[in-house]
Amino acid sequence: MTHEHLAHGDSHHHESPQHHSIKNGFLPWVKGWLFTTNHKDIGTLYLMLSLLMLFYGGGMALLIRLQLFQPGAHFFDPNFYNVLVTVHGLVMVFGVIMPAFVGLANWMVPMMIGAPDMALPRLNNWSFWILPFAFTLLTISLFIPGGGPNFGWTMYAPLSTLYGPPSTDYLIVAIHLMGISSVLGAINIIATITNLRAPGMNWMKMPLFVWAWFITAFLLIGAMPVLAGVVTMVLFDRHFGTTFFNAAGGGDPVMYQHLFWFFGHPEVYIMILPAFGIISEVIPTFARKRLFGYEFMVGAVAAIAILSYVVWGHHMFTAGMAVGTQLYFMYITMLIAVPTGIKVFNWVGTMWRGSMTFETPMLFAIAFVILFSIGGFSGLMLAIVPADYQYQDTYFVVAHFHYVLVAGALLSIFCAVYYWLPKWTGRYYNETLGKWHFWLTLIGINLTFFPMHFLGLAGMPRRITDYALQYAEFNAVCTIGAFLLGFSQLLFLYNLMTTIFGKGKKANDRVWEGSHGLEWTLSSPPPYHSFNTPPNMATLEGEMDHKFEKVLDHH
Amino acid sequence: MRSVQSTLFALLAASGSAFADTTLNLTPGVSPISRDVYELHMTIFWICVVIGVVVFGAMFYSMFYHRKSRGAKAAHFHSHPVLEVTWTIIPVIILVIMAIPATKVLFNMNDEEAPAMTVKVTGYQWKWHYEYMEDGVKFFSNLSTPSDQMHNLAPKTASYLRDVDHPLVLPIHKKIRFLITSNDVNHAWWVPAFAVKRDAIGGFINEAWTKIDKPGTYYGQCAELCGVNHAFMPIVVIATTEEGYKEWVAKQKGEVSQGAMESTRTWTMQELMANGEKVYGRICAACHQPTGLGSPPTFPALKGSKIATGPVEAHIEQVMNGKPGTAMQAFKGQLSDAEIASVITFERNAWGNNTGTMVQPIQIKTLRDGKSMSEALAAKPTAGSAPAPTAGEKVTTAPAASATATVATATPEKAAEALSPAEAMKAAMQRGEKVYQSTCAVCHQPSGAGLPPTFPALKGSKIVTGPVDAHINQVMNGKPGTAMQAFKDQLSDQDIADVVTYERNAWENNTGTLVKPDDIKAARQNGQSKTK
Repeated sequence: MTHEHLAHGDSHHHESPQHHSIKNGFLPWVKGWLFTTNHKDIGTLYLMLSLLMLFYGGGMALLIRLQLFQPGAHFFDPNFYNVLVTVHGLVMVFGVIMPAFVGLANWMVPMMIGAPDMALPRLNNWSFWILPFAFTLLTISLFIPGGGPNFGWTMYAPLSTLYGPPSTDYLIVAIHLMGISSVLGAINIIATITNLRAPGMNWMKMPLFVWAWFITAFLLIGAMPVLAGVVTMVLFDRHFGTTFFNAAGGGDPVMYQHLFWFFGHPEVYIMILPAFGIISEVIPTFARKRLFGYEFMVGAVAAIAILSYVVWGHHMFTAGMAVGTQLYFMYITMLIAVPTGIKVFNWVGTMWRGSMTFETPMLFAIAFVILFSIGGFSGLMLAIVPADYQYQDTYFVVAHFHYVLVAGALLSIFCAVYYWLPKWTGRYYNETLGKWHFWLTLIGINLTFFPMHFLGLAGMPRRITDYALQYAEFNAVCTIGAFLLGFSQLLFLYNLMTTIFGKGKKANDRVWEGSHGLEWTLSSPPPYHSFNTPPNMATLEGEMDHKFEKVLDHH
Repeated sequence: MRSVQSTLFALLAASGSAFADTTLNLTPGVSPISRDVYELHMTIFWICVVIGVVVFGAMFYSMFYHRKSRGAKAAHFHSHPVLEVTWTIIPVIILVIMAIPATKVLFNMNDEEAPAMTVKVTGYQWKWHYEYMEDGVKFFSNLSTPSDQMHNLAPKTASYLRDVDHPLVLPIHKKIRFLITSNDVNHAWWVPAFAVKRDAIGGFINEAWTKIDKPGTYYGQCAELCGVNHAFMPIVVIATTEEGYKEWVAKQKGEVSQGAMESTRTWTMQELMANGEKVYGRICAACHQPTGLGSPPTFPALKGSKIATGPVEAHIEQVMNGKPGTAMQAFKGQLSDAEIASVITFERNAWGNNTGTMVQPIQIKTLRDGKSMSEALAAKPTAGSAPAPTAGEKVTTAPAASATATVATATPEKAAEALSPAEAMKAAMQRGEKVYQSTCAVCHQPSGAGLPPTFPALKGSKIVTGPVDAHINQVMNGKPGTAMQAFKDQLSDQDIADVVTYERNAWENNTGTLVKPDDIKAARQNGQSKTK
């Protein structure tokens, strides 16, 4: 084991830069975090921001559920309720899911490919530090006279153009900032993976998490500029006399929807492909078996990404597109189920005839596969256009995307954090607390979002501040589930903080018995600068090719 | 067994009507399309259930039998191309099987040929407007739940948030085509029982159709976020037999002519207050609250407000034309003369406002017919003794009773003797300023300074201070190749006359010109032969 440590030529195993300790002075500490170009630090910054935003957006969700607990409840006037719905969506999409995945990419991608850092470290720093400004601007918009943005995270024109409050303009600038951060981050990822792979780390040896992020980066570069364009068109319609989305001036509100969803659909795949990558790392570890069908898994991610660019119309089936157009979007949307299904089958194939243990990361990974599939099923139902006419803009859609985003993406983020936390901190988290967090979250998620399928089928539209009596029972259940879900996250916060700042059980390099990949050849925590010299070929091939055959059979 | 059954039954019965209404599944509905949609929904649902059972079953089996604690040793296989290809092709086949009936139903749903009748549905913030294209009946349909229930001050009835004041009545067994559009933002008209949902987009028309199998009352809701009261614009369709429908149409038409009479007679204070309170509760209380206290600053209080207790002209103006840039809509198109007159009267006397003002429907009708505010306030109802006009206005003896027929050629100065040229100019300037603010100021600025070079200044401009014909021509026909649109189809003769007058005299332009609607009318008639 020690042989492998020396082989990657680092003499400072546990060196931490001075700025990591506030004992060396407050100002050096601040400057350290402000100007760091280290991928591990920047990964930590993204993850911390995401955690903060989780409670921010989650708090708003609880306020929404409070309003919907009973018919007639008037905790908030309808306008503020619409603001809550809007900002909850924006914060969760742009402030929680996306930064968390970027943080995980920052931490893990260089180590996984045997690189010393990201290709563009200073750009990496700036990509992160734009975000606090973006979210401060978004928060400020809530206090602008006229109230915060109140037209849903989708910002449809003309509600946003002709009827949007003054705070809309602040939102537009905040979105520009977030977009710049994402695009720069994506460029960095592509440059890193393309150029800094260690010798021997061929494309078809790369961990699936790296593949998933490589492909996601292309989605980001293609989609985010379109969002920037469409919100700029909104700004112009609002203030510079254009009528892009106003029929009175020759424009078309439906064109807004086309442009927005041309961004919006790749965006939701941006929010799930990294999750697929994570699950593809975790299940093999705890099944002690190599990922089933590696080539097909890579191909499936690529197929999903390509298809994601051409299915945007399925968000707009009731908007009035031509029948032929609707049919095209129906067929191609149904097709996306195929590569997604392949991935699910392959995860099951990895579990099958493995030797499984069920530590917290594995629990989250398995729950992901099941619950994400449920979200996928409701997605397939939504793809059937005539049926979609009954589901569109109802709680059926709300159920669908919360299953894929909360029970999907968010669970995968928890999975990743539990999985890699011992590597990052050198200490195991509390396993009992982890399991409690898992089970309470699982129950909370299902209590909150499963009844929403029924509400949608029964006829409850989305984004409404009050509802008719026949929706009362399920809404009450959803609210109770939401509060359970929300407060259970405090367990996670506590576990996280005590692991990072406490004196828990130390972790060795391998951490998990079935761990595989270059990151597990480094110490826990890894050196501040890892892989300053590339890993040797034998180590690399051992981790990527022979891991499960050789090592586990010999212990 | 029997006692268990009866206990359960008792529990169910005791849990109230709301529980009995709670459903788990989509409705099969009452039209052939809705039933087809339900079938598609159930088919894809069962396909998903089967796939889920197989996949999750395999997972649970594996989690139990392939665990380390059971002594399971990991196998080494990690690929199987034949298996992969198989479980790629089989899903594709399942999808194709699903897509064929879905395609058929979609074509059927979008085939609006040969309808028996057409209803135009217009979404407004926050109500629906229905217009029967063949029968000429049209009306607004508002949520009719009392706001007491919405504010938890009264128990909620089973129709909470579902009922409207004026439902859509349709005949069964007839193919009905819907033309759906919007007056403002995007809405969506959705009735689950028909499986009809189409977005209502301003400036565009979406089509849908249905054929209702059996009589009944069918409920729907707006299904696209459209602002604060998105939750409060339900849809109620009453499907009746053919005879029932014909009767209803006749009654609607009768009410229209009855309504015309309501506009010209004298209303007593009691009638105005009673009707006004109803209108207020239905239309205004959602924002201004039943208490008149509003929700400042977005929805101002009416109790003790300057507008509701001040000069009545400003109050009428506000209700008729709204306040651009705010949520206060223009209600002149949505409420009848009697409704506007009574609700204004109510607002001016309720909650201790006690102005004692009465506004008669004839005054609103006169205003609607294009007369000036002062003329409108001077208008007298046909029957009964007219009450004294509101304080602060000059009393005239002008008999403007049947204001509609006689005013075709009359200009403001001639019809009411009380209006001197100075007053006529003042009135025109006031009206013109409003047109300017709502239509022109966005480019030319409230100050008239414009944003040169794209939006020229009007203050001191050659066109505005030069020959009036060129000015009128510019406003009516626009200036091609620039952002200056042709307003001749967007504004009435009166509006164009007033805004041109305003522009020619505001900001110290002081040309002294007063343009009359007749001038605009003449310009329209000469428009074909007029050169630029």
